[in-house]
Amino acid sequence: MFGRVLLGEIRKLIRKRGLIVLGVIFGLAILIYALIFNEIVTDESGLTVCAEDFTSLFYSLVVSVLTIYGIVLAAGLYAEEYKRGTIKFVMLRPVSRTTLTTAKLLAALLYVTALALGVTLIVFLYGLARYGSSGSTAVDLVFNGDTPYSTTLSIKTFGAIGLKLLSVYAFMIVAFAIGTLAKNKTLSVVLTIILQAGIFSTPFMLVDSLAGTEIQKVLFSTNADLSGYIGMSASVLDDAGGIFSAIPKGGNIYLAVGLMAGYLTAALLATYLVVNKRDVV
Amino acid sequence: MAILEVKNVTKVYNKRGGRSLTALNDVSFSVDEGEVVGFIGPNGAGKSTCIKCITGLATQTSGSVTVCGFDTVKEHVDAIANVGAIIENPDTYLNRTALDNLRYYASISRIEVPSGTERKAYINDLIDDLLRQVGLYDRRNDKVSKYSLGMKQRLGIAQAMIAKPKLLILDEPTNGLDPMGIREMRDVVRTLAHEQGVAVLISSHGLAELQQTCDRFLLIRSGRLIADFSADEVGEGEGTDLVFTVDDVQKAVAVVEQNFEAKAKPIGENRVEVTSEGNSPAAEINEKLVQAGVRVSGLYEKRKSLEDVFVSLTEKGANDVR
Repeated sequence: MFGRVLLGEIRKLIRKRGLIVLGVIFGLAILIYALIFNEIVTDESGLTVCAEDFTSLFYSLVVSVLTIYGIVLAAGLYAEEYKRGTIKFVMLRPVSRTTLTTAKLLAALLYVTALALGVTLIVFLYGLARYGSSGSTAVDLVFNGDTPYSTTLSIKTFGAIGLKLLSVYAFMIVAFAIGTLAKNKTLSVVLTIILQAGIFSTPFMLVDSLAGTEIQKVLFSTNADLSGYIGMSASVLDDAGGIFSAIPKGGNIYLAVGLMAGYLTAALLATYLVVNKRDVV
Repeated sequence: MAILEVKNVTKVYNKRGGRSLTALNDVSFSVDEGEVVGFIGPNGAGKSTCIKCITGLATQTSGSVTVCGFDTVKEHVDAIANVGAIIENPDTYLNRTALDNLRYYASISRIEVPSGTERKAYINDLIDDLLRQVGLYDRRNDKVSKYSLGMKQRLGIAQAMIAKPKLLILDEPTNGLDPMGIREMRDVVRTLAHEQGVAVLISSHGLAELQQTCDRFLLIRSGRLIADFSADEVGEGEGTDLVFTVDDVQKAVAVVEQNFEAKAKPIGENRVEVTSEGNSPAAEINEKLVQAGVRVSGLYEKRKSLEDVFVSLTEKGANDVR
């Protein structure tokens, strides 16, 4: 039965008009990006590029769109059904609410994964045909901010893509939880986007007196993307020209993984509990 | 055999500020196989809450509900597998066709497929039959957003029947249906109950329609079940109304009220309705009217309708009735 419920939920998502809009956005983005990228590298800039660079840069650009799409999608999984009243006929089936909740969330995660992988594959294949691969090239990275290690460009590229996809999942779970608990999609989208935009962590970066504190290391937005902890995210230069670490002060990967697991478990537990106990009125 | 058993169900809603509302108070009843039961009561009486407790959409504060012997709380999935229902509005997926909607509901329902039959083909045939039965076959590929309320109601009925339930619960099923649709609905319900043994619980404000459809009635008021009576009992009991056709209505009303312990009420220009406790003395009233110079050109006995019973019972105190 779970398989049939899951398939039903996936079909619901596929029929959403948003997919067409997103498809057009991604299609145009790929086209424009390819043209611009091509222009830069064919200019006599002396740059050497490969499919991995091409894919990595594109993915870091579209991941924001994907995150917001995932948030909007997840926020409405239950909230829209409550709003439109369709939840009643669904809950009048011999399907437990736990099964239904799991199927809804899993369907959304699978759907976004398919979308992300599809786009990545198209971009990578284009890059491969146009620039060739340097995937086996060795790259030096830093694990947890203090342990250097070597890997290949392919692993770095696709590892970062995978971790960024995990961050999309994390925000989707939060959006799903808020949307379900509040039975309000708009509220969930707004709150999760605020969370995703890192607005809560901004004061800690901009205000000197706060910058010295270690509060950032426990914030959801700081830890959602783990790629910084294994040296896979882009670093920025600080005022002195040195490398600004992507790891928040006092933080480490173990704490980040633990905190994320804790936050997401709490969000999911609250969702399951409320869905199972709530009267449909 | 009882398909549905509701035992001492109480539902209390906790409101803000520590207040609480008792929507159902110790309600008990059962519905047998092949029985059509009308669930009636004023707005806010607790009908929908009771139906939601039966279907598991809400959980009762105390008491129990069983469907085919399965507890709707502890064995929810098995209990609900035997239930088909429309509750309040027929809210299906508007951006999908009737066919898509039914295929989706079928996919997550427990449908017994005869051995040796391919599931998909069986379900497709089942859906086609249902669509024909509710008169939507020709519009099966239209999006539900283009449907009228009556058509949505028919689709709601189809989804309720898709898993061939043993208990069918219909909350205002004739909303939006035209007279032809109401008649078809009645025929479908009676056929399901009397030929296939489905137990049916119908909640509706359409009392005239219910009177023609149901075998038994449950009357609920302020969260309490105040009456449980068979269709045969409607029209019986204390009091009968007589309707006289007369040439002078005002005079006739005066004569009746002066000479009998009865209430007389003018109806239109030339009729008087006389209501009395106990047996109505039709012959005596007629004689008095003639003696007083009132010309009586017609007389008939008006049997009490379900509506009369409903009004009478809901106006009385709950304790007077049970």
